[in-house]
Amino acid sequence: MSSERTNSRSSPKALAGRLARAVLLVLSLALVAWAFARVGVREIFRSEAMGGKTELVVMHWSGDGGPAEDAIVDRALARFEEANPTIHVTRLNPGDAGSFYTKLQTMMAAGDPPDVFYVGAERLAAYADAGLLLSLDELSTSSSTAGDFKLQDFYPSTVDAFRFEDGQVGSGSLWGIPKDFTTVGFYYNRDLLERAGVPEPSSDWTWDDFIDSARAVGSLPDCTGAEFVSWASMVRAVLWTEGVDLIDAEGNIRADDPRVIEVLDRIRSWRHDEERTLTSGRSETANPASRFLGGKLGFAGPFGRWVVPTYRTIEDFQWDYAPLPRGETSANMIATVAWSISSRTEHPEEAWQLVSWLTGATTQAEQAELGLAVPTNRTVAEGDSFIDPATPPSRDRDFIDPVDYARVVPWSTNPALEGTVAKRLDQALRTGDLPVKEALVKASDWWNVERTSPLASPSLPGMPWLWIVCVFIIGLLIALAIGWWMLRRNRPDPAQMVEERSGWLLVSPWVIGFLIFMAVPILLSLALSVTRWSGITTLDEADFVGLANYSQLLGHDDVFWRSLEVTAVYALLAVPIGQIVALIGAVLMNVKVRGVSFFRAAWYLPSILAGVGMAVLFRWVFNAENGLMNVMLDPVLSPLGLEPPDWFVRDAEAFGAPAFAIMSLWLVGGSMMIYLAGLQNVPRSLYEAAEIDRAGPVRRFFSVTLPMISPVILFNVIMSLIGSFQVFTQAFVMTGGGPGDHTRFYVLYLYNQAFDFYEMGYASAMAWLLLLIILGLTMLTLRGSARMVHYEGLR
Amino acid sequence: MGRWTGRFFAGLALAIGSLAMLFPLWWMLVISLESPQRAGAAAEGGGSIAVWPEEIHWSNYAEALKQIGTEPWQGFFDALANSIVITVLVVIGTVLSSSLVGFAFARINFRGRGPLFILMLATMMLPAQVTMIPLFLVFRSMGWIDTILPLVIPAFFGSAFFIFMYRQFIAQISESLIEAARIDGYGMLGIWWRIILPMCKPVTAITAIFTFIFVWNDFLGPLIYLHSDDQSTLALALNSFRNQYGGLDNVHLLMAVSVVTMIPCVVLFFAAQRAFVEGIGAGAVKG
Repeated sequence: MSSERTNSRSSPKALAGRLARAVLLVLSLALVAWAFARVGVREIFRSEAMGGKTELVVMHWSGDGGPAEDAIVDRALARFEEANPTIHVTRLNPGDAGSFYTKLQTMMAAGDPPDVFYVGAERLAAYADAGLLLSLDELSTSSSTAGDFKLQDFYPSTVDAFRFEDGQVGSGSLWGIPKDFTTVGFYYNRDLLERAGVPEPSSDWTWDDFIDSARAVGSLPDCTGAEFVSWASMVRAVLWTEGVDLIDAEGNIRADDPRVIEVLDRIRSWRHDEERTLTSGRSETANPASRFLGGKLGFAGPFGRWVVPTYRTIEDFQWDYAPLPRGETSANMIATVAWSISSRTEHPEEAWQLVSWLTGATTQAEQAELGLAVPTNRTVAEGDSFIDPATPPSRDRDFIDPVDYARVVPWSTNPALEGTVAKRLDQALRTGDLPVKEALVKASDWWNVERTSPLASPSLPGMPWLWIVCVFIIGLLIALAIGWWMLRRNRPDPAQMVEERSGWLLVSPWVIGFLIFMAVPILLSLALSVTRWSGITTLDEADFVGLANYSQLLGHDDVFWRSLEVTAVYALLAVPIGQIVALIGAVLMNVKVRGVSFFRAAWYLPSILAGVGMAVLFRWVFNAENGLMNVMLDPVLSPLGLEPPDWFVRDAEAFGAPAFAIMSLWLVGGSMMIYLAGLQNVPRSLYEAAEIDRAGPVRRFFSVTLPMISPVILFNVIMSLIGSFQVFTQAFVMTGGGPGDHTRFYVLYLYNQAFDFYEMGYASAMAWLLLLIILGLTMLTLRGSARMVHYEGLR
Repeated sequence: MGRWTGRFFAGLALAIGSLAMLFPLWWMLVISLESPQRAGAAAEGGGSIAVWPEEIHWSNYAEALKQIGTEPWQGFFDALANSIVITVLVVIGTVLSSSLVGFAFARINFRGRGPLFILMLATMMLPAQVTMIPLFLVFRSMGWIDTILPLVIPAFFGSAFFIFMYRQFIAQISESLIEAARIDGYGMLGIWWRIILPMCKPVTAITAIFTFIFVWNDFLGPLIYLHSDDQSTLALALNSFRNQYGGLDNVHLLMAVSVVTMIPCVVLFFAAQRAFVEGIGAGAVKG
């Protein structure tokens, strides 16, 4: 490398390279200067921009509506600010509903929620129960109500979805104003139905009509009858059409109700006992809603109105919509979202002014044109802005009419229930891993343990924070006293004292940082691990549960053990293979081959770019049918009579974690660079000496290279071991832990507990167990390698 | 086996590895330049693996960047500026503090060094999720929410990972160099600044690259601490963009934004690679 440099210092190529570097340097310095200037100016003049106005913080999401929904809220707020010049609105949009709730919950936990925000009907009970929302009973008759807002114009069933009192949703105080709603049904490809010779569904069609049509479409070449999603709420709505429900009034899962099993088994049988009636449930690359876009699918659903903006981009075929088919009775579900006000807002009047503005007829009419949802204001919904025969679907009324018999799907205030039911239904109906009955029994057993666990007891003692703080301070004082005493006791000689002082001075940044950013938070999280705390209330509302979190985890939580297993399998594969590949790469690059800087860059590049985009990409790489991985494997495996695995769906139990281990090979660049730096630090003289001793390349590697870089190997192994127990982003983006729990990595489950189930205490206990596991593994590695690692010059 | 065959096979192995490493990224680039229809089909696995864009649509990039944030272009500029400021400050803070502390752990004898070092190793093992909510409460009590301070200030107190790395490297520096500097009358800070830091160029390059990339791609931190749109970083903006433009019909835009957010990391790597090679080239590698 350096010979290249010295030989060609004056050549035109080297000159061009130096010029390019200089330009790059100037450019990046300019960019950095611009960035600091922009941020500096903005921060300095920030206070002037507000100008003494009342500030309202508004948070919403724009999931399926995408940028169009974002723009509509933005416009409505701009008009509001124009009409109310004394109010300044700051708008937050974290993206989709999931990110929205994560952020909302973090802000609530910190006691700093936005003033006005979206609340989905499914979360209302939990939020209202925890006292996070402001009651709108008085405000809704207040004088600051926007002119075109009239609650009596709303569809009553949508408003009732946001009433909550005494643990019951549906009546009592009002906690939110629904901004829009949808009922659900099936979208259908009119062209395919015509080709299959089946009539378009009527508004009063039955499940028999549905399946007959789906079978007819499925018999067309290269076509599939229907996409039938098995989302938990949708499945319950389907059960309602047969007059039964998955969960009864007491909150029990009806695992022994033969009628429930019969209806669910019918769906399973359509998918798994027939060919091409329902989509296979295998390909997961695309969102289920978007598979319809390909034009090879007769029906897609049950979906609400939210897919319409996407479907309106369809140019290749005609499509329309029919409501949920009828079974023994007509039934449908309402999905709706409201604007609510935080109970902590300092400006309730202004906040209400804004909420009534945002749900008033004008704003609703504007939103209706997007077609994303049905306006909750009856006049607007039945007016021209929503019912528009010119744009598909032509059957807008089929979204409105079911509102008379539709209702909100009631879930427990414990959000874990919906998640677990969804997971089991996924196994029973979509992948077919479990018989229906068994899946329901598993969900029911889990739910019974969950409900009867000491953690679920309604009357737990409060967390004694005052005592904890006192004990903490006393402990700190004792530790300081002991430390001081030990330092006094064996005082070294003065020369050593000087060295000692500078040692303490030099490590002090880390010690101070550790105390503020680590020790206090860690102790706080240890304290949290013996509590039950939702994270959406403030800390002083945490309940003390003793070690119940730990005993629940170790004794009753199958998912916990499964997540540990998945993570261990991953670590066992990813750490050794990854380190060997990284070391081989580094050793090969240390041989003076041509283009080594290109190879180094190529190997390192993917690990630089590891993030969400990379995960999306690799979900596609591991796709069973067209994925890059299986396209490559097929020619190798098919002569042996083998088939490449369906990594993340059918074969996920065996191949899910290994697929992630394979993916981790793309991220070995970091380890490899560290090896390379270590290799280049090995003194050349040692190799020269070995060569004089006539040691061959293999011998040189094992007796010079390996011992010299052994500290680096140890470092890399430990870091990658720790890293492998903290896999999160890939699993979160690529599979979300599914199917079942086959890719539910430890930290992903921890995240689920904290942010999907609001169990901050339980999650903290998991975090502490994770710490113990990692600490134990590291100690084992250090101890096991003590004799194999060679330190040059370490005192 | 001669030297040449050895080099040939090494080169071949590296070339095959490089191809495997780069192809997925190439595909991403191809998608970002495709027309919306072709991009959607390729992402869905429409039967073939796209190797070359049919038609190059550079306008995808302008269209995508313009739509970041709430105001056209401003969202992108704000996010870019914020990302640069945060990243630059964190890199400077991490290199200075970590090399200093790493030096102390490797070379200075003081009572409590061993236990402190073990403690520091232990902190590396704690998953970030544990300290997340408590840290948020700490920063909130300081009034730092919705500023870049929670993301930047901790970097100036050293990062356990890089302290460990510096310590491992500094432990292997020959004792005689340090002894010579001591005899010349340098104090510990002087030795750190004049002897250790210059000798640590390789590990500093790695620290800078790793920190830059980690901070640039960090998502969880900004998500928690930054609420306002004008405080958002590029990673945060990319995620909002992904959430808003997640559909198949927008794959080309999503990929275009992803590519743009990746460019600084790629450029930095190629630039720092030279410093990295030169830092080693001066002493260890001859010929």
